[in-house]
Amino acid sequence: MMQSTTQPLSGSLWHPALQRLLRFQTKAKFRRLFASFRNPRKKVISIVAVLLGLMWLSQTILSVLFREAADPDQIGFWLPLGLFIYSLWHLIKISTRQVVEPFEWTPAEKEFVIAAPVTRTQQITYRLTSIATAALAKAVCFSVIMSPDIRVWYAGFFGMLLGLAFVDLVRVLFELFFYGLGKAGRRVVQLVVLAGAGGCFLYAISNCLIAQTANSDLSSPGALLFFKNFIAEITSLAQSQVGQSLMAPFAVFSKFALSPETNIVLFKNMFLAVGLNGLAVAAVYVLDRWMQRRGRQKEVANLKTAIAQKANADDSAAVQSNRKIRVPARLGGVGSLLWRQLLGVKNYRGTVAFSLTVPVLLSCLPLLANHNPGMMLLNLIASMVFYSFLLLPSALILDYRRDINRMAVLKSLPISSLAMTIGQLAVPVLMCCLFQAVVLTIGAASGKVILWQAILAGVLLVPVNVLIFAAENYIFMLAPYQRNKEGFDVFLRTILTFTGKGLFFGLALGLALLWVTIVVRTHNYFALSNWFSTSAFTLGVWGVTLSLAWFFVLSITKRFERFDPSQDTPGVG
Amino acid sequence: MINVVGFSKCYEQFLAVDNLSFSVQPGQVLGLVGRNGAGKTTTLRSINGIIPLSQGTIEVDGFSIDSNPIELKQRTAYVPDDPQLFEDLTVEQHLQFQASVYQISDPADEMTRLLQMFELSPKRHNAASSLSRGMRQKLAICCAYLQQPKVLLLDEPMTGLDPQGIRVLKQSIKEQAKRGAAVIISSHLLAMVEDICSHVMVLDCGKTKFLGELAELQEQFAGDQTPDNQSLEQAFFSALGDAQHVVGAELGLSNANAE
Repeated sequence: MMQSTTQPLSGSLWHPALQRLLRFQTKAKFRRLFASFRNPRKKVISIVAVLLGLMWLSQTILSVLFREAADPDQIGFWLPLGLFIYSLWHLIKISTRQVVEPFEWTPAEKEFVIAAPVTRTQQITYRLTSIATAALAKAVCFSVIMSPDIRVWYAGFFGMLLGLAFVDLVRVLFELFFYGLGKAGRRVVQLVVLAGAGGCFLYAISNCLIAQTANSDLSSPGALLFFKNFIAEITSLAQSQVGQSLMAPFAVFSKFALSPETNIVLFKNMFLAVGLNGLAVAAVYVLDRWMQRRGRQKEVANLKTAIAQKANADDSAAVQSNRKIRVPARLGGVGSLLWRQLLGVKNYRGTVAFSLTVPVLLSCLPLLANHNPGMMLLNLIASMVFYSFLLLPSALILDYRRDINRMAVLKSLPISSLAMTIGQLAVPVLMCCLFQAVVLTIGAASGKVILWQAILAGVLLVPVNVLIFAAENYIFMLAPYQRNKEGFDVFLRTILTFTGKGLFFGLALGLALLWVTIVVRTHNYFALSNWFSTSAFTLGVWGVTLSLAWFFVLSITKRFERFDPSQDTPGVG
Repeated sequence: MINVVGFSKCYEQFLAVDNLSFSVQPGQVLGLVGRNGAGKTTTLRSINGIIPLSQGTIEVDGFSIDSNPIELKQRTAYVPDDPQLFEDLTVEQHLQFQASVYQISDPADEMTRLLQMFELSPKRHNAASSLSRGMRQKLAICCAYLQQPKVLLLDEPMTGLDPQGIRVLKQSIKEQAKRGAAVIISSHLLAMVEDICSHVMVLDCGKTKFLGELAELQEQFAGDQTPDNQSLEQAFFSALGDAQHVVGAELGLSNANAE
């Protein structure tokens, strides 16, 4: 007869079963990584991944070998500032997005870890260990990249590891704190965070503007100068008393990582870095207990409200059920999908608005320079395309990337694959167009861009936007993944995707340069009119972009047709 | 209505369904039974065009999955065993979406009727993420019924439903068949299959072990058993060639108990 041999182990931090689970998960991640290379369905993407990996690796090695060591004072200043800004970014993100449960348990973890007979402390230890594992992979990469600046290798590696782990712990602390707050408390924190971050940003911008206006010698490189001024303002903010105090914990890691030699100071910083992480871990356990308590209090309060509202609920439901239902226009299925994704925009309007505000502000920077309207428009377009390419795909996940677990549902719908792809891409492309329209409107309203040219630019940019999101979705469909996952495989994937996109962007830029050379040579040789040559250049670039965009749309359509939910849906962990 | 000829499906090297052929006529309810991994879900998903076929042809109302997938899907409704809903859409918005995709012009009355029938009216404006497992199942069923499909494919439809929900679903499946729909239900609940299916197909390792009317199955595989043993369960095990195994297991259990 079988008997349970499980001991409660309630006093220990670690439960052996969770240790084993972590080991299995780590092994499985590598197994999955290598299995995907052996999968005949993914042969091409595996070869591309290997090539991109080699490219990234060789570029990293070259930069490590041939790069001169940075100024120790400069790097000693920017490293903690980087860690601080990363933590600040987490704080802004957490306080502005919809509230999510801390620790981001996967569905499988909810069933097997949360439901398991292990203590809450052991569950948290398990999660913190998986966070530390992800930080380990990042620390290896960072310490390799920073090797020319690192004097003592072990200090460099452990300094980065402890620094990155600390940032993750700070993120977890924010999440716990924010989740534990009530509605009113969250609103206050939101206001404080946005006012603080926004105030610093506006302060820096206004100082830059004042400096810019005062300097009458400014001419063409105005945007660059503005950027330099902006960095200088941020630097002065970071060097202020408050800035130094806020960055002090992060400076410990940087001092440890950049130690010039093995001496007593190194060990002092190491002790402080380990101590800070220890404190943060202890704070996680304490704050989690507070959050659990707050959760129980909220339950009681919610129950009272629910009981009070229950009486009216049925009546109002009956009244509402009799109203007229509006069916969204189908438009071959595109309309239905568009409507559904727009509902997503409506539900996450705060996050979407915030995600678009940053690129709008950054794209408007060229407006600060003194250019003629034509040159200004070109600068504005380049800036918008750059930020659309860099920031918007990760901010507007309202396409196939959002529906990886619903591919079976999408495939069962009576909508053609092409209409499905167009419907899925429509909302992010529209939002991208909206972002560009706002920037161009600001440009036209400031009188620095001619209105009809701005409108024309907006129209001409539509294929670029389609191309950006189609390429993003095509890469996703080649190797789908689950969102909100962390770990080495995601880190590797991000590097490879970014390298691939960078290559693509570089190639596109090269082609554009080639085309402009051809147009200029032809213009000079045949003494063509400026208007003709400009039109030929614009139409050429536009035509190639449109063709590429269409090619990617058709490629996604093909991938969607071939997508087999039984085999191609990635595991949720 | 549904015509499947020589259908096979393999995942990598694994043959999940092997040369399956059958047809279901309007008004018929076919019960798909078999062990876990027998190929039931794969068959249903393939009929709806969710997963590509490795071999064979599938037609619904004369439309082939290869040449007319949209027309086929327009006539087919599929309720998966674990419905993946759009988490941030409300119950009503799911039905609106369904009405839009399947071109249902004035769905208000039908929506209200279905929501009342499956006791979802109070949750009409709640997000799918807030629904319980059973309610999610009910919503998926409402979405399927809203389009008034000619072919209804249900994969373990009773999962998570309360007794009232089960009763309503059973009754509604009968009504769908009466209306002229061809229905296929995949289920492990043999009593339910016995209750509502006119035909049954026993699948094992992707192959058909039996296909015919319910009475035929019982007649063929539970032939000389006592009336007590002439249940669908006994016939099911016999069809799978597991009668000895089951008896052996029972003996083993009673021996262990005796000790």
